[in-house]
Amino acid sequence: MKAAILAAVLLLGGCAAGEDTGVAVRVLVLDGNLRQLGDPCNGAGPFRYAHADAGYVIEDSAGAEVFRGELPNGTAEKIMDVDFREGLRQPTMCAMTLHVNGFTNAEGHELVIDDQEGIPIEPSEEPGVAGEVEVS
Amino acid sequence: MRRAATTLAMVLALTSCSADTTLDLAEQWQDRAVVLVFFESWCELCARQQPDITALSEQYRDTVLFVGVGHESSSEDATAFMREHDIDYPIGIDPTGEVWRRYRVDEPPLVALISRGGRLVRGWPGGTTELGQQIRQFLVA
Repeated sequence: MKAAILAAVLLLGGCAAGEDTGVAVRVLVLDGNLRQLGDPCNGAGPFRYAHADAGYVIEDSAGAEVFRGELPNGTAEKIMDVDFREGLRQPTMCAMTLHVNGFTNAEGHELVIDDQEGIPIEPSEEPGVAGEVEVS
Repeated sequence: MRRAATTLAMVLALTSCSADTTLDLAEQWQDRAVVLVFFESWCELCARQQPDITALSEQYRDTVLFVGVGHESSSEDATAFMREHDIDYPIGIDPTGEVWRRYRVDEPPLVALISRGGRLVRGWPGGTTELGQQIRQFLVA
């Protein structure tokens, strides 16, 4: 009995660890909010629903659930190719990286955040990133 | 004056470990300066800045009322945030987002400094490291 419980605990632990080892999907919240580059962030203004701990689901083209998880904190990145004075807050996007299991091809897949409307996942050309989603 | 009374009459439902209660901000800032700290329990930048805010709230305990204002955080998560960061000032939840809208909070943290009488002295979207200096300059001196 103890062995069975231990095995179950280990299995559950494996699932949790898998969230960090799945393929990467980038979520770019294009909110244009003023931030310091590199600061931790969440979606701003009308995109506040896209925040750390918010639940998300990845669905395939048939609407079947492929993966479920919670958004992580994001990092503020440049949203436009303009050089602002160093240290100034500037318009940014909030970039989050999901680690998704069971996801190999972006085609036809959608990201659903907190029961909002699904957003298509596009293939990414970035090395090590399987897909990219623009929340806008 | 009438505008201030209309604009500033805001009541927050307070989160605490004891019984639920409310806080009338307009009533509070008739007597003393107020610092509103807009936060969410999942906000990492809020957590990073909280130690300095907590220290200031203790330093100015007798002259400035600090109030934390969450919006979408649950009472349980807000209470956990309070405990984790040793926050000794009241935290309110603004479930309708009315107070957040009035202070144009697009994303927490945002810190707002309000002088006695209800005048908004300054707000810092993204938080600030200048709060102590500003309190000394505008409110205590």
